[in-house]
Amino acid sequence: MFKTKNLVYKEFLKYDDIHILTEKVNFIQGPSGCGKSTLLKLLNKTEGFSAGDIIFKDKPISQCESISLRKTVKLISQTPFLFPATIRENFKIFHEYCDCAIKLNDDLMHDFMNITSADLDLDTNCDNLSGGEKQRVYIAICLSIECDVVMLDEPTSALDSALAHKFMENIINYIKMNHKTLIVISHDTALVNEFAENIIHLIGEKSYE
Amino acid sequence: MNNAVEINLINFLSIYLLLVIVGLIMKKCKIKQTNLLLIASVRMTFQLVIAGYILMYILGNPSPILIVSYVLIMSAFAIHRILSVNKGLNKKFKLIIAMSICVSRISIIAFFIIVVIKQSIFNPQYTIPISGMIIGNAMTGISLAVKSFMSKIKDSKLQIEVLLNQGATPKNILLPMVNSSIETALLPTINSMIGMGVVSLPGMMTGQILSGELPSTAILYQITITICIASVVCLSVFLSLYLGYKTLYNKDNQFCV
Repeated sequence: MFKTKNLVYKEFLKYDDIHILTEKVNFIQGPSGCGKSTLLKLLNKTEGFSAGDIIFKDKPISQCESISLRKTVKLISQTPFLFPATIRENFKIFHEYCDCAIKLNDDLMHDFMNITSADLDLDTNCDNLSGGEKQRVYIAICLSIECDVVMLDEPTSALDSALAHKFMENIINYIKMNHKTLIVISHDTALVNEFAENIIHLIGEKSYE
Repeated sequence: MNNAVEINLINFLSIYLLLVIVGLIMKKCKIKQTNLLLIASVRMTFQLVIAGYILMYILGNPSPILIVSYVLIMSAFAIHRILSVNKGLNKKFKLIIAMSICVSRISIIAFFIIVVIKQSIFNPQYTIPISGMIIGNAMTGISLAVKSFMSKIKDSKLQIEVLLNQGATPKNILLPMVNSSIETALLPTINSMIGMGVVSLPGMMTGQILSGELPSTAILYQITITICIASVVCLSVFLSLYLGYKTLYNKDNQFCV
């Protein structure tokens, strides 16, 4: 799906060449500050790189139109964001912002909330959610906007280990059933050992010359 | 009706006593900007005296070059003021703001002088005071709009990042912020229209009545100038933000704020 060649970000962060496998569960690991989150931003073109190249489906990423690339390759970043409105309204607002063609209804919303184990009423105001609930609702909304590749940055950071396990299991079921590719950044070695089909270790060579 | 009484210089100076009271109150309330009051009073006096003498000269020797340069200098000061209040804007955005002020102002003033009062645009008696009134208001409007827009962007960093990651276009993300900033900038102007004549008698009208003009003429001028001010504020704010927000991202739709 993705291949990188001599990738460099802002002249100081060098990446080893990596390979993301299509329709597999790809885990990215590495010490803090080695550029894991930045790598995902480079893959969906919300950040630019200074040297090297990224090949997406046999095509250099520079030739991909950025908005349609981001609709295909979905990055669900680490810090959740929800509008101060109900969960149902949040689904609608996100879909409007993304000009999403999918017809939203309560069943569909519940389906995605079930994937992320967010067992909540759609009329709940998002201001009243706990950190972990916010994260799960946010991931459910992002998943509901159609895409081919799902990139999750520390999706289980606000969940306890039992819930984290169930969450990963559901997500992977969903990915497999819909023939999507999954890329996950996670520090949780138990999850990596159990679910990973492809593990990428980033070392993070930084040179501040 | 009588012309305004000439103010005797010594009597005139007594008005500065009021500023001393303002200064004492500011000191008592420990307002840090007490020095600013001093600077502002001195600048206000000095600038108005200079403007008075320049205007006397221009009115006595009307020439298009003098009028155009006077108007340009006023614009330059206004633009400089806006840009110094809103630091951290990119070059293109600054240029767009400067252009918006000039375009909206020149077109509205031209409309007012040529179409409404049917005078030459180079008649300094009309062009200069009216440009001055209009640009002051446009300046406040744009300052308010840009300030509110940039602080909205700053406060919505996470929202922008998340929506961008979901494939929303920068246009979809930023336009709601542009629109609400335009609203913020327009409201004071519209609110002042509501109170006009009841809560306050506006400056231009007061000036005309003091100098012996009939109130019936004065209100006609005041109504036209009020509408001109509202349209200049609206037009310049709209142009600045609608063209300006596009400078905040590049062709790959990455934000460069």
